[in-house]
Amino acid sequence: MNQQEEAIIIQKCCKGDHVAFSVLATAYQNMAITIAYNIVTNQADAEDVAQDAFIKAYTSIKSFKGNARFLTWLYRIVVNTALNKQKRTTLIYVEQPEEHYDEAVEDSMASLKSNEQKKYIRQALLHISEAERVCIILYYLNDWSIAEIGDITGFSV
Amino acid sequence: MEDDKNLRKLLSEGAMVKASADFTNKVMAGISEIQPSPLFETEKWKRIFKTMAALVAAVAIILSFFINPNSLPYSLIEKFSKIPAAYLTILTEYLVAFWILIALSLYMNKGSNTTSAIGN
Repeated sequence: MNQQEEAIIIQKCCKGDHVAFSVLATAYQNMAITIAYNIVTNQADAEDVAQDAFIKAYTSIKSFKGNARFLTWLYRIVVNTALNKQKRTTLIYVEQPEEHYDEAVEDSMASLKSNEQKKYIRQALLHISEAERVCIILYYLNDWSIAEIGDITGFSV
Repeated sequence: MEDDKNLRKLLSEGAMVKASADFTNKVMAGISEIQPSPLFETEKWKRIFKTMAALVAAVAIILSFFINPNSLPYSLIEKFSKIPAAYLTILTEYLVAFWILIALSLYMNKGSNTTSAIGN
């Protein structure tokens, strides 16, 4: 989606066209969930966080100033929502079961290898700090500049 | 530099978390839940209008007890219109009567709505 299309959709959303917002949600859902996942480290929670973040973004879209990038603004909401969720989860800590990969169903070696690789990458990411994880994801998967990442996360550069 | 490229490739393959199939639907359902329905908006404006009408009627009725028609500044109004004072008195009386009827009608409608709601 280019910036012009994005601007048109945002204008529609500002006028209360919530169907137009579904286009934005579909386009950016995976990245929003990935960012949330690297903070809350749980897929179900990450989806909840991303969902809340999208709803917050829709309700406050009128406050979005066109001078910033929409994605910067949206991902900042995702990061803040995830950090709040993480704080609450830390207060009421319940041990989560490890993410389960149904290997029996996926019997092909290729998908097994791919799943294993994903598992190892995610495990490796869990060994670094939350702030570092989010910064790495934003830097390598989105090509954000260091200044933009600092703007989104609020982490000092 | 090469390591950087490899890391980018590795992360894009392994670190990207995919949303569940109904994720967008869930978001849209959440948005619909928090949005007031158009029906609610209409009802809200109706209620506001009725409340305002009832308030104006109540104020008009209360004022009619305290204001002596002869003390009203008819002369000021007469400067802008050529209507005689006698007609203005009648007009005021009609306005008061009109708002009393409106208030009564609103009260009666409210009563009948409650009755029909109970009937349902």
